[in-house]
Amino acid sequence: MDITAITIKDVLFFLNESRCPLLLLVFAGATAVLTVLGILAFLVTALLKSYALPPEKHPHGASAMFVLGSGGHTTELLGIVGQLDFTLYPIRTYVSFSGDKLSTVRALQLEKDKSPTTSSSASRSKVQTLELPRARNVGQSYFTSIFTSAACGLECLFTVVKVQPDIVVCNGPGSCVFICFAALLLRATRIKLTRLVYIESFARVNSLSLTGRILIFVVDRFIVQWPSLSERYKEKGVEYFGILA
Amino acid sequence: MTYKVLVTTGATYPFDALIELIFTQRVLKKLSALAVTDLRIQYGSTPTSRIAYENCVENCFTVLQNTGINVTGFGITEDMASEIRSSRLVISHAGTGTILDTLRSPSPKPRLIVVPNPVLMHGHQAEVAAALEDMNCLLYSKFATEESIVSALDKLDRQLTELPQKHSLADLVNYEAGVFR
Repeated sequence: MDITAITIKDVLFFLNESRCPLLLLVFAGATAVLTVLGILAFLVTALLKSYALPPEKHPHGASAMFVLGSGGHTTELLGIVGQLDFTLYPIRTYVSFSGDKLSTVRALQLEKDKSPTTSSSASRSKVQTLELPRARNVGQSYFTSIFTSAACGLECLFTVVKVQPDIVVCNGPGSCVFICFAALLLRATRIKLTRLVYIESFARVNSLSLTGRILIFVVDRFIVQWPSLSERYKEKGVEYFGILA
Repeated sequence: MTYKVLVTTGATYPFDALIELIFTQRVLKKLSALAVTDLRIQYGSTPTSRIAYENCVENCFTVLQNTGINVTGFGITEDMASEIRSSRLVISHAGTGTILDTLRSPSPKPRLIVVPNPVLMHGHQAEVAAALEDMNCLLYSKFATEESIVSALDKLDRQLTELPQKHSLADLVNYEAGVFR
């Protein structure tokens, strides 16, 4: 028998005649796997293409998401947020992680300090503070942290899909990786071309943090605060302007 | 005229060695020679650090009385910035927050001596302090020893460089967000 002459019809005839449900299952399974791979390839291509696109223009203002990491991270990020003209960002979402009430308080304090007390400007802005579950608590075992990380990841995904920010600004630690990955899904599906900006902490002089080493591959802009770091990771496209803190 | 010295140990990790170091005869004598009037100790959040601080004050009672240095202490505070502003000298653990608060405080800026916590020596705090010393922005006492801290106190008159102005990221963020003035 000439094997090149086999048509799909022959295959289906064979499957039908042989009364072999296992083969049918294999056939269906292979189709499903191929479809999933196809969709994945499509998404990855779309995601990779999104990096070549310039930022979308938002002349009527953008929706910004600021991920507050707690402690010194929050101080540094709110310092940068404080430099922004809030009229350009009518929708502002502050994300912090459970057990860190202080970040929310400080974000609201900044909002209060920045916006004049007139009610007209307040009604034009939509400010939201969200507290998501933490990926891993200090001292938590690695096994249980799989589940808490999954919960954190899902919650981050829901949040990002719901808010659909135009830009995410974050500076670590840990949990902001989930927010960035969720934003990548928005980009791959073209729901929103969310731009990602990551700022490495002032405390990192000679080496990147673990969060930084992961996010360097996915963010649009990666900013460091020490010349030694910028020298070391020059090929990876890090940017250095000076101290931001 | 008051001469307030603020000593910080940080909020997270205890740094009792720094408190004990300040209350050694040699360092107290040096501070007294500098005409220090007030010594303010931030001893940290743990009860053991509080006890360490109280023991030091008790042991040095006569010395402190002779030198006329007024000692007060507190665990942690929400408003470190104003504590720093009212000081002429800050002797700090290498906490990035305290360092920045001091170097960014309005003129007249307090002088800053940084003593990294040896427990965290391999952390990144000491790296920041060392890098800022390279820029001549602060005085760095590499070790938590009398020798090291006294030699840092000897250099108090040295002309230090201002920390460079903080760069604004607003333009970059505005560009990425696609918003323009």
